[in-house]
Amino acid sequence: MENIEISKLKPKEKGIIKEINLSGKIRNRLLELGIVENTKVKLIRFAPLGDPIQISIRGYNLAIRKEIAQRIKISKTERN
Amino acid sequence: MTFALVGNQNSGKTSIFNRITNMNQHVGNFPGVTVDITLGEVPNISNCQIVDLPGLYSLETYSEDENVTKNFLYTNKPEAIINVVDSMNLQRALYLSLQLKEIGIPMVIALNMLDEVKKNNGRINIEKLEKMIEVPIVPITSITEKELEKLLTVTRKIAKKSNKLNEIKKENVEMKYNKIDNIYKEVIFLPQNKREKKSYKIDTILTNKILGIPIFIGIMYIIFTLTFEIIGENLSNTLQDGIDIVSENLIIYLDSINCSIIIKSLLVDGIIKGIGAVLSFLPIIITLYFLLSILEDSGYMTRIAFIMDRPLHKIGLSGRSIVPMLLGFGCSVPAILSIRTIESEKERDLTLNLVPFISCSAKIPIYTIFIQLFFKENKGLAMLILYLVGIIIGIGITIYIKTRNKKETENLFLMELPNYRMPSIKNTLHLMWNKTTEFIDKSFTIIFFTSLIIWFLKSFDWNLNWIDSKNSMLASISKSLVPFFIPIGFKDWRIITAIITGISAKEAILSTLTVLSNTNIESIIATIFTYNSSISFMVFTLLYTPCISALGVIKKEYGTKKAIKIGINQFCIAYIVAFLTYNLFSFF
Repeated sequence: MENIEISKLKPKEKGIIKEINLSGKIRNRLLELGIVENTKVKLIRFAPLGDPIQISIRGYNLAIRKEIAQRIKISKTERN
Repeated sequence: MTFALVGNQNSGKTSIFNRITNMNQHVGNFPGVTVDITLGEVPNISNCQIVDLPGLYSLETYSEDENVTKNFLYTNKPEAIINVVDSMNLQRALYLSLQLKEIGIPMVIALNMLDEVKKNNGRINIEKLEKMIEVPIVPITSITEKELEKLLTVTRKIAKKSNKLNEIKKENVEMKYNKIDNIYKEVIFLPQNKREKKSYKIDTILTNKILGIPIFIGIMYIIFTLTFEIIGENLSNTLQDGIDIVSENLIIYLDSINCSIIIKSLLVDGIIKGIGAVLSFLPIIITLYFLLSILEDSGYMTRIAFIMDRPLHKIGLSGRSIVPMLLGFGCSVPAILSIRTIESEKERDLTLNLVPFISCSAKIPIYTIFIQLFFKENKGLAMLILYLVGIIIGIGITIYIKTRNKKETENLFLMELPNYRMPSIKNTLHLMWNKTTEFIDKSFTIIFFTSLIIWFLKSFDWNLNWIDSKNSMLASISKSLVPFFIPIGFKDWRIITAIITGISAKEAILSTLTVLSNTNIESIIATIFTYNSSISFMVFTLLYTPCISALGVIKKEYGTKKAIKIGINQFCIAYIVAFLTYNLFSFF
């Protein structure tokens, strides 16, 4: 299955991070927060105005802007 | 000897610090709440101090706040690091632990919140973790005396002065997380997270697509009504009455002992007025900061940032800018200090430009009295319009600066949304106290001394003769400036004096007008202001140069150049807007 952007998930859907198409400082920061390849991620919800999004990763919740989330691609896992 | 407490935000670091030192300090549920370095003595170990450093995720720093911690470690080279790790958030916490280990300072891990793990029917194999990460671990369940004793004993045993520290390698983050994944699988079993589940449920309402924003507005409405209309104003009035009684009695007493007129004036007009000016709006600040601290301690403040990030990002700010903005309604000093938690430099700078436009509580008495005299029919509306004018002009300026500064900005809004918790009275009071003392520390002394200086300038002439204020040094300076202010409707020199003293502190504006006239404040205002110039004056006070305390904090945090620039900019903006309003209203 093709990799999709995190922000394309619906609330409660999960995936595994496959690509982080960012460079420099932002990429490094994401990695440091545990957003590395092959990590499980779950989309929790969108903010009321649609941006940013709340994701759950490595046991904690993180708010992240869509602009960034669009650069992170995942392979969607079965919904449960 | 120095021990440094280092850990992620919300790791419970500050609670441990408080228990060790028995010192009052606060626990924050908003990332980056510990802004200054706090010290405490370690009991039972002679000459040993412990330092609570701002929480951080990594030694590659992004916000000014995180820099504080890194700089402290490298500059002060403490003898030991106590790395506080939240067991419920082990994966991310261990990343920092692995980095800290590389520096080469002896380190011990305080494995905190093990009670939470138990509550969720989880287990951690501490021995195995210790072996795999090669750092001594002291388990902490509910921060008991015994646990802390053990922590300090272990720390003391390993403590050693390191002369040469290792630079953190431009490293392979993925490799560290691979290692963490392996450790995690081996040592921890955590079937569920009850608090996270509960937070999820709460958030389905508080950050709900439809309800989220109305709830936020509703909460703000309640907070502002409580602060400014119910609690704050009544307390302020009571305090003001108290101050009046003190000064009246002091006058009677001084007269009875035939005190010299200079001393009497110094005590009554200089010192009591100075202290009184600060005290009278302290209740407003305390109430506002108490209520905002509840939001912060509960975790809701991060949700406000989450909800508001989009509209704020549109004008170049960050969701995190909401905190300085809200604090700004109390006092700009703590507001400006809180800006450092914003990661992106550009967003930091824009927030700094916006905050002084938010009308601080010191300006309320000015509006109140002018509105009372000139806009009796629409008091509430007039007040609201003033606040909105400030905010709208501030936002306008922000957008203007944003579009001019084409520099590509790092889009670094990454914010942890910690699980909600019941705000505790103790934490809330600590948070409130920290912000209020920031105001008192920074403002009180400055306001006090400028009151003395103004008292001096208005009591003496250039030859240092004790003189009526009409002929004082201050009067002669102000009179020479009158022509400059005529275009915006200020024709009386006393207004100019009030504006000058207002730069020292906005609360000095009214007291200056009172002191310079021999009648009460209402009649002097009615004499020297017209309907038009009163509007112009309110707008001018709303917008012009921030007080010295605020400028001082800007200088300290962002440099002298920035402080001067903001000071001059705001003066010009205030002048232009006052000019426009004055002349516009003159048409009608």
